[in-house]
Amino acid sequence: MRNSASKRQHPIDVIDANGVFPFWEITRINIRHNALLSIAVSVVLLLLIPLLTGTANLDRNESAVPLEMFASLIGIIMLTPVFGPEQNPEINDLVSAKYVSTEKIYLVRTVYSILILTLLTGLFSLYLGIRDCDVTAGLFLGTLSDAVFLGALGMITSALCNNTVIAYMIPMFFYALNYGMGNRLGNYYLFSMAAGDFGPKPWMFATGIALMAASVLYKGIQKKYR
Amino acid sequence: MLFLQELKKTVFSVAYAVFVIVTILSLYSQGALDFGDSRITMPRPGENYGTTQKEIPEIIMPAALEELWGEFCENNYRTYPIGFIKHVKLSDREQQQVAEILSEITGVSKEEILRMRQDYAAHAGTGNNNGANTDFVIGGDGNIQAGSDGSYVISLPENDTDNAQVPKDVNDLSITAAPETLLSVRGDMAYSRFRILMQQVDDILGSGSSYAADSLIGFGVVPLTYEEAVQRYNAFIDSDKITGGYARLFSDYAVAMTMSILPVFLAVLMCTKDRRSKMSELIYTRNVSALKVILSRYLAVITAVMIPIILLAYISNASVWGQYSGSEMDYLAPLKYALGWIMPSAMISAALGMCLTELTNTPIAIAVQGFWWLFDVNAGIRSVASSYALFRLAPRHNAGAMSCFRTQDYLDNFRRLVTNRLLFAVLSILFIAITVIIYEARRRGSINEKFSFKKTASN
Amino acid sequence: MSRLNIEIKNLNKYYGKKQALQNVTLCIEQGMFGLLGRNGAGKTTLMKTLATLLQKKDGEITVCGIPIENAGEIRKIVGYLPQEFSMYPSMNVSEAMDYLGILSGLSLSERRERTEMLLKKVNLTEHKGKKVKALSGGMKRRLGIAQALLNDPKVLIVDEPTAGLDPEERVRFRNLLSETAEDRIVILSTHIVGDIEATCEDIAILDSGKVLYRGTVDQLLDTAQGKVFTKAADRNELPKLKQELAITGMHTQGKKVYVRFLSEHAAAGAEACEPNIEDAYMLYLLRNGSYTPLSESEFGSGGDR
Repeated sequence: MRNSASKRQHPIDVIDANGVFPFWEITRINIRHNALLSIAVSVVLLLLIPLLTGTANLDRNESAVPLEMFASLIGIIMLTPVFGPEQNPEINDLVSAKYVSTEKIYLVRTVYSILILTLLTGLFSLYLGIRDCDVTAGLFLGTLSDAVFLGALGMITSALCNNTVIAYMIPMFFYALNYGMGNRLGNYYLFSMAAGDFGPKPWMFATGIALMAASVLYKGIQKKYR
Repeated sequence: MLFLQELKKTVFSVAYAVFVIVTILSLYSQGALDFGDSRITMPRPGENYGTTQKEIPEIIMPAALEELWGEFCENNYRTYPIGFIKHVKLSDREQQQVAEILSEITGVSKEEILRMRQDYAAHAGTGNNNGANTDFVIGGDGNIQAGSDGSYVISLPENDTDNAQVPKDVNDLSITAAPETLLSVRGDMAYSRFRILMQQVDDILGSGSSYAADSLIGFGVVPLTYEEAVQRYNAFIDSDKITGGYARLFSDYAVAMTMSILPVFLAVLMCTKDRRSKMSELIYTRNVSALKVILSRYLAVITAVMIPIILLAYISNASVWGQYSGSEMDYLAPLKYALGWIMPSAMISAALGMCLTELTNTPIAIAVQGFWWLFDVNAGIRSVASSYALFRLAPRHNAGAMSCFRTQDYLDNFRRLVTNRLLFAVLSILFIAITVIIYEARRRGSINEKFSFKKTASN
Repeated sequence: MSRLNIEIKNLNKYYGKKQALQNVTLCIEQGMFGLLGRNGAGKTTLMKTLATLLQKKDGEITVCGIPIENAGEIRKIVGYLPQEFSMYPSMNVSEAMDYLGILSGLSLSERRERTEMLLKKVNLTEHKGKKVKALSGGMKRRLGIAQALLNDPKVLIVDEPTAGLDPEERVRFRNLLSETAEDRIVILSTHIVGDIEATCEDIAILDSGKVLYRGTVDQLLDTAQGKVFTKAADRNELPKLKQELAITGMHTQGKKVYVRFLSEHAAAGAEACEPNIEDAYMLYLLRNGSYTPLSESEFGSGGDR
């Protein structure tokens, strides 16, 4: 009887005991308790950009500077801490024993972080547009790709090292590398749009999503071998 | 000894391994670990020695006027408040003020100036409209989009000579875009008055323009003479003892790329590690003074970050030793520069990290130091003076491949550098003192928490 | 599925090369079940395995008929309180209950109802607005039990529930556990013998990943009958005695020292005495060859007697 039952249900299924996955409730609580600081820091960064670089009367290539060079950094801020709360082993033990699998929580956090990222980047692009900058959908999407890629670097590091602080280092290092290496980074050059080159962006977006998937998957696999 | 324990804890951590690897990779990617191909030779007569900037009114005044006239006509002024281009568009009233200044400089009446501008607008068909900006500024932002390879140079601040190219480019453009300038500087214009007027323009523009009194020199680009080249070479040999120049260049890279930002990670980690492993409760109850705990930890972080950087400084410096064999060299230069130039940046970064982590229990220090670093590094070098400015987190000296050579700039600004470095060292100590106080306060507060004693009680 | 029992057969678990659990075979029925063992004996490993936090190497586990591989179903019927309980730092008591209730798959109305009921049961209703991290040790434990009961589990697993609690809190906590065990299985691990004595009928002793004993408390005491002795000696003989005897306790009176020790055979000059659980526990360790003589500083601790 036991053997026949053992594969009956996949351990990670998508719905709760009542048949509905409480996405919004989990999102609401997680944003409130785990994301507010990140959101605040992201907003501060966006507010500081006008002090760093011009944000008015910019042509298309110039508009790329505040976007891809600065706004994209909020990807690191929003996405790197996705695994953070459960890096406290006590909390991890507590929530891992619950019915809803922790990987699903990670997915929820990733999804809402990307949504917030999109929203903030959108608002910032809008702000540039209002100030007579030639902002296009391409610039907006390219910036989002940068942010997703940088954030994904943070997520994979966090998953591998189980430490959010170290995880901030890697994407920031990669960011700094872009200043020095320039387009020698090829399809992973963050600041290509300022030279009118949108080619790297789809690559970065795709790699970013792949890295995120890999890091959540790794978290799940890691648990299997504990 | 607590210090050794903390040092061990720092060094044998994943974060430290990442720190070392990231540091090496950053410096390697910048070519800062091998200066072998930047050998300095004694200048010979008849060579091209590059350019320098000099305060020669006869050169500066017309060049500055030409630029200002072009920008005035377009009503599109380029400023670089923090190293990045910022387009400034003035209101009518402000444009009138600039017209008055132009009038005083040229002796042409304000009305005439405004009329000429209108002609220009009609001629170019653009006038005040913003669409003009698009055509006008292409290439004008040489400051940000440097090379044809698409790389940015902001973090590696522009060459002095590069810097001079910015207005030059713009001039070229304004000449093609604006009608032939009919204006010229009045014969009896005193340079001192010119400076004041230009500073007024800068004030109207909200600062950061090339008209600022101390930036005006950027318009005075002249070729270096043979005598000056020899003088420069001699300073490199006598004052820098060769190695000093290269050590300075290394310090510039090391401070900007890694040492003003990475120590914050280690500091935050050392403080959160405690908490994570529940050690803080144990340490809180132990009979060690807060001062000792915090100071040991701080010194451990500083020691841990400085050791590899000193080693790398020597690796970098030694890369040129062979090329100057036979010359007198100062083999202690890398150490002196590492301790004097690099260490204060590491100190402030680590101190801020510890202070904010103890205060807030969050990794917010990374964001704070990150922002500061981002601002500072992007500030680039507007002028030699600004790279040694008082609040400069990462003092800069790098301006082009041969900046190991710029001994005189360094000597001229030595006092400013010392003040800056001392300021950061003192600030660091202040932050650490605050950390000690916070730590002590927390320790007192935790006495009521019985739970803290759990480990000790149950064993 | 309706049967309340846990069956563990030939369970093995490794951490790298170190074997944490060796051929563990246990059957646990309704009521309080105590896992006794020193730190590192494998108690936590066994409990985490039952709570689906750790994967077994081999062997078979079924909880109420459900194989352990079916983690989703197991988590529905298991409540777990880890050794150290903490929650997202910004959450207060009722927020923590609500969130953990969501994670347990409860609907909004179920959550409200159960949270209120459970907080009342563990006497935390008036503290529900307090931050979790600001709670005292005892309150944290009670909240821990409340959250573990959110899904009304058939099996409640509690790791070292009384460590760090003061004597009064400890007594209250034991009573709380006993109450909840009325209609479910409650497994608790402890290295404090007093906990077992007060609450459990069925126990198992774990040492180095092996089950040394499985049975009732009474049976355990029986096995130690006639194996426990006391003896008076001169104080300066103590170091020698420590080497020779398996001492489980002692007290000094002036120059004399009274030692309590284990021996398979009656010893000369010693009086047999009534064994307590601690003696019996030590006896099993002694027989397993894992008894280590206590150092002087370790006397006087090791739980309440």
